[in-house]
Amino acid sequence: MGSLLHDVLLDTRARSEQLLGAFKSLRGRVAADAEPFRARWEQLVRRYRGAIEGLISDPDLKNPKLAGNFYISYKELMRFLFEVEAGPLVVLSRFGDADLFVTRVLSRICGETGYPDSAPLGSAGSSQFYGALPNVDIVIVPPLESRHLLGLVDLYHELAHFVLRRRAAQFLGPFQSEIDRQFDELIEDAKRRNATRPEIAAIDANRSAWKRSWREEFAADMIATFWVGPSFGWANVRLCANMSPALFVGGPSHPADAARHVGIGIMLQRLGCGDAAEEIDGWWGELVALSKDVKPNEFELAYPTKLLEALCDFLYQECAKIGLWSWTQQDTSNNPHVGGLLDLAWKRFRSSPSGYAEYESDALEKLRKAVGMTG
Amino acid sequence: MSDMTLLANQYAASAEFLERVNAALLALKKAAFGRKRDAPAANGLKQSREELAELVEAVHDRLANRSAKTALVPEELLERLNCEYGSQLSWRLENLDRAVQALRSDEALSDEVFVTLDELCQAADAIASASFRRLWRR
Repeated sequence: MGSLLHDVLLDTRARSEQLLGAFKSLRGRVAADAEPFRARWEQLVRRYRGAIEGLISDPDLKNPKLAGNFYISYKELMRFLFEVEAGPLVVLSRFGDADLFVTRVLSRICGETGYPDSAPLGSAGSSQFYGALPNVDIVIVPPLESRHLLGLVDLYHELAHFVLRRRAAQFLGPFQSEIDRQFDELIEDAKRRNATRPEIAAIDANRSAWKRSWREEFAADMIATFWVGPSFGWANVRLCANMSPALFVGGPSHPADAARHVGIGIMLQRLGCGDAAEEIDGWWGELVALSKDVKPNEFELAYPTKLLEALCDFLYQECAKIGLWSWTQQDTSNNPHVGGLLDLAWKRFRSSPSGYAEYESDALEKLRKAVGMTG
Repeated sequence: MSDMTLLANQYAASAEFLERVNAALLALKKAAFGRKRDAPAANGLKQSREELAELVEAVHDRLANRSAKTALVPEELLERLNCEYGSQLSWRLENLDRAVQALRSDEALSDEVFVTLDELCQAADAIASASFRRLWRR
């Protein structure tokens, strides 16, 4: 007689076979650029199907001392199959011209920046702005982004998330102690000036937010700036103008936009792009004035400039260690260099916003041709 | 980044940690309680013990407010354990420390050590499951 775990494993095996069949059926039907991605997922699903077979035939499956761990293994397999179905399979099944364009631009950016892994697949089917799905190697962008240049700068931020996730032990782990050190100091200072318990708890909550998600968000911004230079600063101000609910207020998941602007500025200074950083600051100042948002007193306690500077220095060194090329190291004369093209687009937009649409149309056409897109 | 990126990153981190803990623990339990002929080879077992020791040590050090040397522990897991352990944190830390010492010794693992390891694995599973649900089932 079977058991619940045995029975659901049989069901999962059937699902994995269907998934495998779906990937096989896409062979020869997806664009050549997406074929290695399709083949990789077919291979992975086959490997996981083997793991399911292994569990089904494991003589210890019914051993009560091991059952809990087998159940966890089963859930891991189920989650994998679901992610593959909801991610790679959906994207490949609907892979069209806009997806291909984003995929090719990503691939070109990876070549220009020394990105250390194979380029992720692009999907222009996002209902949630830009995003990175590191487990399934996909970058998502909204459907019309392939028809514009200014927002494409955000691709660098999403690529940075892949670097951070895959090299977390190098890029995120070691900075933990610096966060602790600086927040310990802030708490000691607060105690010395007789801060109240809630004030100290608030500082500690900021420390947790840094470790939980802010560190990674700041790091992705800084690596994107490292790669593409001032364009990222300009694009960030535009993004905040379009979407920021409150410039100086962060949440548990995202740091305040104003702090992200500061972090980007610090990396621009580090790259030797101080003049551009000042110009971007000026544009940011206009946005602050328009929004009427006011910097709260505790802003510096949540986002210490010293901590952002330390993060910038740390990332600058680690990026160089894995061979990433900074904006100032890249040869933008390669025609067309995506980063160079975006830089020109932003310069043009800033100098002549009214004539920009025509310029963008021509520049996009040039980029489409350069990445082998016709029509 | 979108909220999806954040959730995807949190899930990726928690799933990776869980996979490492559960795979190593399962290998050790198979050797201790399973059918012997299917138990992993001695080399594999040594590797599983070291892998698990590194992960448990990282959890211990982070809960004790010390910097972990290599392994990254998901923040959500630490928050959960801190909440769960509450006033028992000091002796829970001792349990984790004992588990690390036992894993690094040549002795057979005691039932108490397996209980500690099981609790950690279950907490990691709860975090990965919750984070997966937030990512895909909204």
